[in-house]
Amino acid sequence: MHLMPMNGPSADTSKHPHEAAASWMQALLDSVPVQAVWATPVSDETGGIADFEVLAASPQARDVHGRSGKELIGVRTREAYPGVLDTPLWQSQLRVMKSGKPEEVVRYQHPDAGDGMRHQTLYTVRLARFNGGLLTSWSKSDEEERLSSRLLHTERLGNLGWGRWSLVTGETEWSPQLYSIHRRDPADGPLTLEEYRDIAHPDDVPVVERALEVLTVGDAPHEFEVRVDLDGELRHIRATVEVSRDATGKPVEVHGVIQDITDWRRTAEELAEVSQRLEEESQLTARLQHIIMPVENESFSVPGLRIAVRYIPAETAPLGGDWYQAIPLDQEEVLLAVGDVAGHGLAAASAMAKLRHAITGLAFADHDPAQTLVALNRLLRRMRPDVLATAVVARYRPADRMLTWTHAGHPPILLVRGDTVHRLLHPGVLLGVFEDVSYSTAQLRLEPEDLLLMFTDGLIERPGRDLFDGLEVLSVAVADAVRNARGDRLAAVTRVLTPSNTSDDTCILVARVMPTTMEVS
Amino acid sequence: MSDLHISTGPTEFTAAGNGNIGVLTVRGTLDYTTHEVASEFFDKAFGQFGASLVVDLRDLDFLDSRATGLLINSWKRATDEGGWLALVAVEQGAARVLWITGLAFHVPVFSTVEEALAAAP
Repeated sequence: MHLMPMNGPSADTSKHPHEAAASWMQALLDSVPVQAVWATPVSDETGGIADFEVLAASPQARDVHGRSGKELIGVRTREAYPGVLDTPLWQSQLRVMKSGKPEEVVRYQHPDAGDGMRHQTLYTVRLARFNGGLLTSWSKSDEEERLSSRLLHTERLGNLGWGRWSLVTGETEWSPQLYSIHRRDPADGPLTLEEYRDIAHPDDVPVVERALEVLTVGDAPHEFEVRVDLDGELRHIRATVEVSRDATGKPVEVHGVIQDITDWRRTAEELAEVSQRLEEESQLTARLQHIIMPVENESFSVPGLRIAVRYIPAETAPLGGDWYQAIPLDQEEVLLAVGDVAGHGLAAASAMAKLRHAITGLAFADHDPAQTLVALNRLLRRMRPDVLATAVVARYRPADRMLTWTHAGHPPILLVRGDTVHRLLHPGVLLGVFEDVSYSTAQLRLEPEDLLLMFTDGLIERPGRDLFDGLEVLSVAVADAVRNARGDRLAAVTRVLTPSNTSDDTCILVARVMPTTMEVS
Repeated sequence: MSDLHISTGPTEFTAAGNGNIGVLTVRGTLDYTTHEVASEFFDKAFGQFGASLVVDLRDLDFLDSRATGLLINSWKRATDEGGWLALVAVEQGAARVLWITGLAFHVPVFSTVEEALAAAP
């Protein structure tokens, strides 16, 4: 970064003798695409070199402080870069001025006096005595190095390499990673395009043939994937190749990027396997749920009633603890029940299955709903003391349209009569908590076209909302649906029933009272 | 003299001793998101105050079925350990859940903490 005339004049007279030289040096430096300055020495009292002062600088010259081009003119080395005195660069500058022999300082790292941090950048600095001054040019020695090492990193990390095949001279060039991908010694040289036919898996030879053919006709990059046999191991490689042509359109060179995607392929295949297994598990769970508790999509008939049921699992758990039952009993009666076992997963589902089967059995043994719940509570206390459950249980007798029901800690049955929604409240304590509990039943005579709605709390429960507010919202939605229903009230109501809490499962049963032809009274 | 205090988002648990009875207050929401911290809170309360507890739920705006289970289990634990557990709740909010689940008929429920303390055996 500096220079000086050999017959070094004193500091205050140095500029004038060099003015002419400086001017044509500047003209020279203006025309070369390098970072360079020309500086003249500044002498001390003894005639030795005390410093250098820049008299000309190339437009591209840029120092460590960010000064560039003509901003560097007048800059003195020791003043501007005091740290330089302790470096080999300063010694080299003095030597070059003395001997006239050019020198090169490689991997020069500038010590910064300002912030005490060493600059990370490495420079190659060339020094020459020229026209009585010192011509200094420099470049970042690591720039190219860094680029090339970055490229190597990229190739290694991506397990990819590039290649170039001349179609004119037959000359081929491969990047180092290509040799590694092909398990090939660089000493053996690269493969020709035609040789890919020999290493391709027999089934993939047509892919190679097609690629070679496409290259002769098209200009667009062609991408293909083949399996190749390398030292007896089958690897998947993906190639993106392109052809360049000369002015007459004749293909002259093929270049491309080749990536080894074997691991990626294997991972993708493993992922597909895992997905399939999960899918199978999920189907199994759904089947299991269906075995424990079949849910019909279509509505179905039991004596005196048309029934629609829906089961909506929690978003996070395909298997839940909510259940329903709608089954004809003896003496032309029907059991209707909906229940909820707290929790999700197999534990809840197995308790649910027990309760559902027990309630059905007890109903067949001709227990009324209150007796059924007393027995269920005892059963739960013995068999699953860890479980809390709620249920609503009803018997319906079509002969006189009499509904007998009771609750165990469960949201009430909703009765839709005309377009009004009523709550059939008759509270009892939830199941599985208290050793001795009793329940009582309530009775109501239904009318043809009445709808009964039984459900679990997933339909009305929502964080921040009172359970009764949820009931109110549901009642309004049901009343609206009934009011706007054309024809099928059962379907109209079933359609508007959407769970409010998707983190819980929800079971819904809707029953429509059919007009009976053999009424007793 | 509140000496136990846990706060998680919108839910707040505090407890203070009153004679030999612990008065626990839960404000906000008791559901699956607060289940763990609620269980921990009740555990600590049993450890600190013994098995006689009054649980103030007047500022509880939501109680799901799992949290209902936690209240029931705490009530059972208090009873098993020879203590006594009462709930304080008003018509709105938690009380409706206690009513619908039938718990209000089995677990003592009062409308103020003072009434609950006065009824302590």
